[in-house]
Amino acid sequence: MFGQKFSTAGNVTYRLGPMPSLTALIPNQPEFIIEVMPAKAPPASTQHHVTVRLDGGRHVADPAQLQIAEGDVVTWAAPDATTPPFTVDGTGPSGPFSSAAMRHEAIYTHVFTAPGDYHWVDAHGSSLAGDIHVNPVAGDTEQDRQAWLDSLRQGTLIHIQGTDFSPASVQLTVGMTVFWAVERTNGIAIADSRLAPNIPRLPEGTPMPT
Amino acid sequence: MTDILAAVDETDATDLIHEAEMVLGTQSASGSSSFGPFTAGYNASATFSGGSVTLSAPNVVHLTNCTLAYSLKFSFGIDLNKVIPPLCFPQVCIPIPFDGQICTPAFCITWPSITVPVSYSDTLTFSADFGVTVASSSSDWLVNFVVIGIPSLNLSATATGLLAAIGAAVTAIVSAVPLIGPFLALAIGAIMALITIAALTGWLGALLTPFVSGLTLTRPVPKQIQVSTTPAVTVSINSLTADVQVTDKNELVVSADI
Repeated sequence: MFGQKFSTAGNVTYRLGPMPSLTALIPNQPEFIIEVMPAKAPPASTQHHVTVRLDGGRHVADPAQLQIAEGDVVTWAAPDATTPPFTVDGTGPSGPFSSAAMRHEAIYTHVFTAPGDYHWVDAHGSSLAGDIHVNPVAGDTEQDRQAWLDSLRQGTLIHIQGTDFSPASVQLTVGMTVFWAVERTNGIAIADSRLAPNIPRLPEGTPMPT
Repeated sequence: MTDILAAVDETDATDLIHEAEMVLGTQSASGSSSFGPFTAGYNASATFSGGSVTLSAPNVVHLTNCTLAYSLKFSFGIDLNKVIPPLCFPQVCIPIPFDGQICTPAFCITWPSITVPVSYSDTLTFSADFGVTVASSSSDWLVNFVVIGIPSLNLSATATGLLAAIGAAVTAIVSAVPLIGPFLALAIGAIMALITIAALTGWLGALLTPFVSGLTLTRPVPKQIQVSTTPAVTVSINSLTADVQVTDKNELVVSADI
């Protein structure tokens, strides 16, 4: 799931696609609209959810048009696991936003479906990186299964602000969700290091750039 | 008038059969058939070796303890949604530093359909009666031992071994399904419960019986034989007969006109 907070009133338009560079090449890619209304009272953020699905080979948003208030968050996710990965790229009164380059008050979540050790990196090559240890599920009785499903309600947060992030390493059980809350960066994309093998890695102990 | 008359006893007849088994080599078959609720595409191969011959007039060769070595490669598909319950993830909510609380939507996953490949090799022994006939090819006389009836194969032991091999293959494939962990034992148990020894025995019988029913073991005899004399002499066999006859004991008698 990708989420973006919209803190400035005005019209936001965005497109969905496989990745920003490819989305621009797909003809007649539909444009979706978010109308951000001025907040009337002290902002109490509301979450609005957009379902992403594939229609005629193109990613489409449901609903295609949203009206939200300043300070609200919009989230996008594809409930059908067969939907190809997608990015959200748009622009609004606060400037551009993209799930492939999260800059300001953005959220990215991932459900870890297989046990193992994962190393997440910024696909754009910054020094932001961390480790996630996913443990297998113990037990296979009905009680074990229910206890596991109950445990999945707990998420794990990784907070990123500038070049600082915390925690650097997290432990969880398979099926659990990690939330990356990107408060302010130059634009990052969270990726599994195995899927981004060409990203140069800094030697251990290298100080973070300021 | 018969020019050459050769009689072989059971020991020599056993050697003849073993040579014919080697000439036969590897037999193979492929196709698709069902065991239990599954349909499997298969490739099967078989070789014959060994066995002891006893001769019975008129014209029956008993072969006992012949070894059928077979190798099976097959695969079958399973829709996991039919054997384990759906998996639905709850909504996950978490406080975000720059916002209130963010929640993911609840969602359910569809289990995949899997294909289980199985390789299995085993041997079994059987006994069969053969009749003896002679046929002609362009260069040889062919002494054929043709199986009589449909030999019975005892498949219960080999079916048990195959069931264990299927269990191991199912475990390997199902274990690799994402998120299957808490459902692994449930899935394997449910799948294996659908495969009974009786169904496997019937399936194996249908696959292996064609290798032995209609089995023909052939020992070729050249129509022309070079005799080591000076000068060299070529002997042509113009006709050949073979059958089991009673002499002082039961013997396989081969008669040749040259």
